[in-house]
Amino acid sequence: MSIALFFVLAIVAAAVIVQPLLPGSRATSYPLPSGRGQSRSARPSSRVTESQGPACAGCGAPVKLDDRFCVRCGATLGEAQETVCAACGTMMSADDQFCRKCGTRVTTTEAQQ
Amino acid sequence: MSPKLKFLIGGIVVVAVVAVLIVTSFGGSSSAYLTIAQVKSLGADQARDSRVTGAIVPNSVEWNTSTVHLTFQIQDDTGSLPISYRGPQPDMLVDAVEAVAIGKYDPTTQVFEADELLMKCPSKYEEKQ
Amino acid sequence: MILADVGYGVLLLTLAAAVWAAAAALMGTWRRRPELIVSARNALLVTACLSTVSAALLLILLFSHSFQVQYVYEHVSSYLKPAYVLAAFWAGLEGSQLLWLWMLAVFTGILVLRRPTWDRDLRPYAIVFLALTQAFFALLLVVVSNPFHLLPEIPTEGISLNPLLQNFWMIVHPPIVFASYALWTIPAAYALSALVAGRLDATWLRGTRAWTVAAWATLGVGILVGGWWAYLELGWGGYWAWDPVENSSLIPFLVGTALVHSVIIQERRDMFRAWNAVLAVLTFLLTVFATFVTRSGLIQSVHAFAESPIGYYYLGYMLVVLAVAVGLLLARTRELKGAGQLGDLLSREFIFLIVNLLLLGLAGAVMLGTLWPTVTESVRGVAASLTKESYNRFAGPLGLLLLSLLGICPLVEWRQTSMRRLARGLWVQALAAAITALLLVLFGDWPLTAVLAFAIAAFVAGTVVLQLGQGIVTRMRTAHENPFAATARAISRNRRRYGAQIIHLAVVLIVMGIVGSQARQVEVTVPLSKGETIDVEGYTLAYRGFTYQSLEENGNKLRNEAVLDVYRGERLVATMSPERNRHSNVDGSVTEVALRSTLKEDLYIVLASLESDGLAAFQVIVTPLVLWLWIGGMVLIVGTLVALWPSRSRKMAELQEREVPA
Repeated sequence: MSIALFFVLAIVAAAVIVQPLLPGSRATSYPLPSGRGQSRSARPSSRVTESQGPACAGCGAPVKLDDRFCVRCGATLGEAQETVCAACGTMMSADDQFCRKCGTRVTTTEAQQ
Repeated sequence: MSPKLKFLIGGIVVVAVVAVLIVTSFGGSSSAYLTIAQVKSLGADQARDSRVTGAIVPNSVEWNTSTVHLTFQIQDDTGSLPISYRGPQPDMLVDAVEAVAIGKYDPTTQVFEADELLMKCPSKYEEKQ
Repeated sequence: MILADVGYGVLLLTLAAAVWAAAAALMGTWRRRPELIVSARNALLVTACLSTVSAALLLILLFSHSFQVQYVYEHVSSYLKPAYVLAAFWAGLEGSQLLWLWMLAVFTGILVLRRPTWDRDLRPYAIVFLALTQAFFALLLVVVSNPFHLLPEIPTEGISLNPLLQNFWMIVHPPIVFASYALWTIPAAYALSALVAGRLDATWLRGTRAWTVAAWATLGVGILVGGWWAYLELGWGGYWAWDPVENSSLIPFLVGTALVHSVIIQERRDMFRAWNAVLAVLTFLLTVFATFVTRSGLIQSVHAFAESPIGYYYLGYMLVVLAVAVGLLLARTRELKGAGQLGDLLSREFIFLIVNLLLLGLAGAVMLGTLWPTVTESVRGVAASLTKESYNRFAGPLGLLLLSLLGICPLVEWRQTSMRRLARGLWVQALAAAITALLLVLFGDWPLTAVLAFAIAAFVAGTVVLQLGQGIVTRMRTAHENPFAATARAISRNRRRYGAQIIHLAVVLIVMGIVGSQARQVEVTVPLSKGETIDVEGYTLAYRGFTYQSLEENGNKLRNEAVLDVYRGERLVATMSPERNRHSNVDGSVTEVALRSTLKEDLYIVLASLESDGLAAFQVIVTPLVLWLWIGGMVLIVGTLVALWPSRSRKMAELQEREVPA
C-alpha cells in the first residue's frame, strides 16, 4: 500500500516537472532574464531626484528628504522619495505599487526608466 | 579632505577602537583546558582559572546538606582528581557522566576548588550507555 | 519496515528534483529556453511537497513507536508523552536536518508560487542557488545522516528523549531557530542572483525585504526563547553562558542586524551595494558555520553533540559558496558602485557605516571567542576557553555604543547635519537621560556602568517615543484626527517605520533586562530545616513543608518538593514549591525551579537537596529586571508584525497583477 503511494508520488512529481517541457504548454511565454545590457548603476533616477527635488505626492509642495509629513497638506510622506511615476512624474514612495496621483501601476523597472 | 578620505579615516578609527577593545578583553583571563595531571602540577601561585574535565568516578559523590558542600572525584586517563564545590548539585551529576570543573587547584589540600561546575549534557545525539 | 524505506525513497526523489531544478534553471537561462525555467520552478514545488511527505513519514514512525528505525529507537519510548514525541523529531542530528530541509523547501515553494515582476531578471539564478542548497541537505540526509536508517533487529523499547529536553521549550525553540536559518537562505540567494545578473540596484533588496526581516525577527525570537529555556530549566539563574552553541546563533544574528540596517542606505542613497551583497551571503554562511561548529567536535560545549564527520561536509559547502561569492564580487566590481555620493561625517550614511563596522566587529569577536580553544591550542599547545567575564568585557561596551547610535541615528540627516540641528533634536532625550542617571545615583544602588547603560537606554527610549509621537501629533494637527485615529492611521501608513521604532523600543527593554540582571544579581545557598526562615534581599522565606516521595508511590518519578512561604515584611506574597525529582528512566535528578517574576526582579529558588527528615538546601537567586528581557521579546514580535503586515497599496497590486501563466 505504501509502496503504491510512493510510486504515485514519483509519477505525479515527474509529471509536474515534465509538463512545461511538453509541446503546447504555455511555458514558452515565461519571461527570461533581460540579459546584461540592463546593468544598472541607477544614475538616471538619482539624477531625476537631484534636479527635481522631492515633492509631496499629494499637493506637489517641495519637501525635505527626511520629512514625515508634508507641511502644506499634512499627507504622510513615503519612505523613499526618489521613485518617480512614469506616467505623471510625481514623486512617490518606493513602497507604493500605484501612483497616488494618476493611479498608474508601477514596477521598479518602469520607475527607473 | 575629500568625503571618501574622511569616511575611510572614520572607518579606520572605528575598526581600531573595536580592535583595541577586543585585544584587551582577550588578553585578560581565559581558562585553560588542562588534564588532571597538568592540574596537579600547578603551583599555589597559579591562581588562574583552570578548566578540567573528567568522568565522574562511580560512588564518589558525597553531599552534605547542612554545609551545602559537594565533593566527588573525576578521572581521565592521566589520573583522578577530587573536586570540592559549595553549591547545589548539578542535575546530571551521575556516575560516569563527564563533568567540567572551573576553578583553582589547591596544592596543599590536593583538592580542586570549583567555582563552577558544568555537566556535559548527555548528548541528544549520542546513545545513552 | 516499509514506511521507512518509502521515507528514504522520497528523500531520494527530493534530491533528484532539487538537482533537476538547479540544472534546468541554469540550462534554461543559458540556452534561452523558458520552459526549462518553468520546469525548474515546478521542481521546487515538488521538493516542497516531497519533503513534507518525508517529514510526515518520520512523524508517523515516531508516533507509532517503530523502534526498528534507529532514529525512533534513539529518541522515543512507548511511555513518552506525545508532545515530546513531536520534539523528538528534531532532537537528533538526522531529524533536525530533515526539519531544516523541509522548512527551506516549503519557504522556497512559497517564494516560487508567486511571480512578481521585479523578480524577472533574478529568479532563475535564485532558483539555482536555493535548489542547490536543498540538494546539499538532501544529499547529506541520503548518504550520511539518514533518519530512516533501520536497525537489524527490532528493539522492544526505545531509549527515549533525554529528560532535560522533555519540556515545552524543546518543542518550540529548535523549529524557530531552524526556520530562521532556512529563511536566511533567501536573501543570500537573491544577493548571489543579483551579482550573477549584474542587477545590483535596490531591486533585490526591496523584493526580499519581507523575507529578510522575517528571518531576522525569527532568529532573534529563537535566541530569546533559548535564553528563557536556559533560565527556567537549567537552574543556574542565568540565561546566557557564551557557550559555543549559543554563540553560533548569535553571530549570524549580529551580521543579519547589520544587513537589515545597511539595506536602507542602498534604498535611499544607492550606496553600500557591496556591503549588502556581502552581508546577505555572509549571514547565510554563518548559519551553516554554526552547524559546522556544533557538529564537528571542533569546539567543546556543554551542549555536547556527538562528534561526527558531518561537520566537515558543512564546512566544505560553506567554502564552496564563499568561493563563488568572492568570485562574483570580484567580477562585478563595476556594478557594485552605487550612484550615491558620500557626504559629511555627521550624516546618517556614516552612522550606518559605523553600525555595520561595530556589528561585524562584535560578531567577529564572538566568533574568535568561540574558536579560542582551537586557536590557543594550535598556537600555544594548550586549549584555553574565554571566560564569561572576558566576553562581557567587549560585548558590554560595544553593545552600549550600538545602543547610543540607535538613539542618535534618527536625529542625523542624510548627507549632512549641522551640529545645531542635531542638538535641537536631542536635547530632550539627553535631559531625560541625565535625570535618569541622577535619580539612579541618588536613590538606587546600581554600579556606575549600569547607571550609564540605563541613561543611554533612557536616551534611546526618548528618541523612539519622540519619533513615534511626532508623526502622530502632526497627523492630529494637519488631518484633524483624534489621538487614536491618528495613531492607527500613522502606523498603517508607515508600517515599516513604526514597526522599526517598536522593534527599537523592544531592544531598549531587552537591554534594560540584560543590564539589570547582570549588574546586581544576588545568589545565596543555605541549608534550612523545616520551620526555619531566611532573609534575602528584602524577602523572608519560611520553609513550611516538604514532600519526600519514593519511586514506588509516584510511578515513574520520585518527587521531592519543598514548600516555602515568601513574605515581604509581614505580607505573604507567594508560596513557592521548588522540586528536585528523579525520573525512573534517567540518571541524575531533574530540578524544577520555583520562580516568581515581577517587573522589578525575579525571585528564583532551586531545591538543591532534600533529606528524609526535611533538612533542605536552597539556592536563592534574586535577579533584578530580568522580566523586561522577555517583555522586550514580545514587543519585538509585535514590532515585526507591524513592519511586515501587508499594506493596502501592496494588496491592490497583488489583486490586479496578472502572473505569466505557467
